[in-house]
Amino acid sequence: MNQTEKHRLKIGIPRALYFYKYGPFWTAFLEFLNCDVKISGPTTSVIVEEGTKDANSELCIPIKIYFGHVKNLLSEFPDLDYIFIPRYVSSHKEQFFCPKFLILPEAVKYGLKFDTPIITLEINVKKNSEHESAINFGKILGYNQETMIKAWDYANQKFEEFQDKAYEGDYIELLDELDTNPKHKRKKKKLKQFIPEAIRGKFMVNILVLGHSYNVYETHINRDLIGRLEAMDCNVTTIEKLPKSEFSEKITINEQYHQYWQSEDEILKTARYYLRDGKNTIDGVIFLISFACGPDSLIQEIVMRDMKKRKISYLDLVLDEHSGESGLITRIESFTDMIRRKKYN
Amino acid sequence: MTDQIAIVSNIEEKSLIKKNEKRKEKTLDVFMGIDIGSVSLKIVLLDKNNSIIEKLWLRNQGSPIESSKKGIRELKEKLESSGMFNKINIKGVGTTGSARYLIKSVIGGDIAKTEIIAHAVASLTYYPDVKTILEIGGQDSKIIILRNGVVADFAMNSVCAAGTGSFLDHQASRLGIPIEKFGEYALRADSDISIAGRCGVFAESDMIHKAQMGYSKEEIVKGLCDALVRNYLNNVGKGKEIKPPIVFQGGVSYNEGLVKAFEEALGAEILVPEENILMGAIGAAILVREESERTEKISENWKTKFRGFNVLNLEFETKAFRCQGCPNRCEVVSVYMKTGEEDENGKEKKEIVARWGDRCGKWAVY
Repeated sequence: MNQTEKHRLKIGIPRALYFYKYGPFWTAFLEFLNCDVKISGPTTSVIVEEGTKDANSELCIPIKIYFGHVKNLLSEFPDLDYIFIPRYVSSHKEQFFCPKFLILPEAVKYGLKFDTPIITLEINVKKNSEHESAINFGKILGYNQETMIKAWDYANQKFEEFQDKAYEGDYIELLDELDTNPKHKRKKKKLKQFIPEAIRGKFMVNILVLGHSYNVYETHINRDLIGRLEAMDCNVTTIEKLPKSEFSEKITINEQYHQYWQSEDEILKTARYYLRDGKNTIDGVIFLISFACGPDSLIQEIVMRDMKKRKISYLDLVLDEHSGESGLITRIESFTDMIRRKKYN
Repeated sequence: MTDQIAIVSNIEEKSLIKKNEKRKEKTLDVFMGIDIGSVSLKIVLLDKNNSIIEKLWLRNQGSPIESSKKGIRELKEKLESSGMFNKINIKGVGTTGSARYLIKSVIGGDIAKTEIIAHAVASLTYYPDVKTILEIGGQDSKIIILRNGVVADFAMNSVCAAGTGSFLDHQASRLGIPIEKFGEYALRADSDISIAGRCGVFAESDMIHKAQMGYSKEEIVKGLCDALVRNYLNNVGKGKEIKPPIVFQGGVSYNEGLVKAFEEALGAEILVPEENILMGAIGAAILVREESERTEKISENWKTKFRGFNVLNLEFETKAFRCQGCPNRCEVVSVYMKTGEEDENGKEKKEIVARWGDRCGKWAVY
């Protein structure tokens, strides 16, 4: 369907997976093309349940949630013209995204049965330049090359602005601002304060939280990990708080093997940065892993060994749809208490 | 004359002060540690030098609230019979274990700490140079790595309870062996047999199979102990540097068969503390003492939140409901305390002491 002056295309974006990373890019890109962008609401238990019902049981929880968000979009906005499901293959010549991102549009199309067409932006620098990706996308909507290149550059600029803002501000709040739907407004949660008032703020601990953006900022499934850590008097830092220049260099695990997965590459670079330049700024590392994630399970071991060598405390937390809250809390409470006793006694 | 009166009152005053001082000397500041796990409840009273004044253990049947009240009642009886009841002043209460927050709210605890920290702190007081703690309890198992007297690393079993106390309990009853004798059986075995320990279900079918092949109970029990140790070291202890001194605590450390299996697997002596099952509670008591000292240092003001033994006269009631506020439909649990008083309308007064289970925190009372 083409975009015309009379009909403004209504395009839905599931708030899952790389929305937590590229959401600002997508929304800016589609808005430049004068589309009416609808985003699914924050993850709820119903979305998780609906997702797990239809997704293949072998998949990781973030993909299952993605299915839930697509269903949620379709029921909340039955008049959507398209559902936007990008295909991330590669954004660096030497690297790939996880194979699940490669097949995402098809997985959703054949996993769920619905009539709304899927529109796909394919990012594959091994095949096309980024501008070519945009031009191909524009063909579906009836836009010429010139407009699409402009749209890409505009979105890229907005994306960088977002990253700069996120560098300073609250990432989750900034992401929420992309969705102007008042029904999706989230109230600030009231979390339990773990530290007695008398000593609150006096024995701070600095924690680096590693993991994919869709695990770290998905507060429903990680049970508000960052908020809880803050309630335990922790200063939390994440991949998004690292200077961008750190991601430009190539990372070598050993002489034969260079990092192959894109997302994992960022995680490893962040970990290595804190082993080197940022060594004295963190007290501990928490690695959030989704159950059944192949790439994560590989580099989890590398990060663990690296941290051990430098005597930085390390904890991995595995997320799945059955993760109970008490197990998670016991672990992070023990972890922060352990660090605090080491640091201040 | 007036002088004499003055002198007399002066003497009286002095003796009064002396009496007060004596009473003060006699009342001993103690710290209570409660460890409420999935299977049992442990309570200890420690003085400020970490000597045990009183201790108790009981099986946790039904609700943790009832168990903790039962525990407090037993503690009171024990203190009364030893004549200590009027001589102690409970200066702080620390809780640990999976129901630590619930019990903290119910009996009025000052701090709730995780089992990891509690076990580590307790072990360090008995073995200052401990480097590894193996802890196996009713439904979970953990390993704690310490270096230079601080916790350096830890791990807990994830979802599966195979190889913990409950599993052993179950297998013992299936074999018709009292759980207390389990270790003895293992030590009597002549030969090694191998049993799959990765999963409780597999272990059980393996045990049945071995029995049908004619192996003795002793050998099967020993095989099971070896399998548990293997499973523990491969899962919980994965990637951890297990250095001696190694301390083994938690209820399962009573099992001599397992102690021996650990010694064989690790090639090092395994130390089992005398108070192996009380270590969590001891740790909680030490932690609350530390907390009181820290607070006194900063603000010179420490007052325990302990409701006192009066807690036995209070009724607690829990109520659960499903919040309809958003699609998450959280299950919210409230704990009410009945004080026995009535409000203006003659209705029984209920005070809410805890409410949780909601994700957004709109109901939460801690």
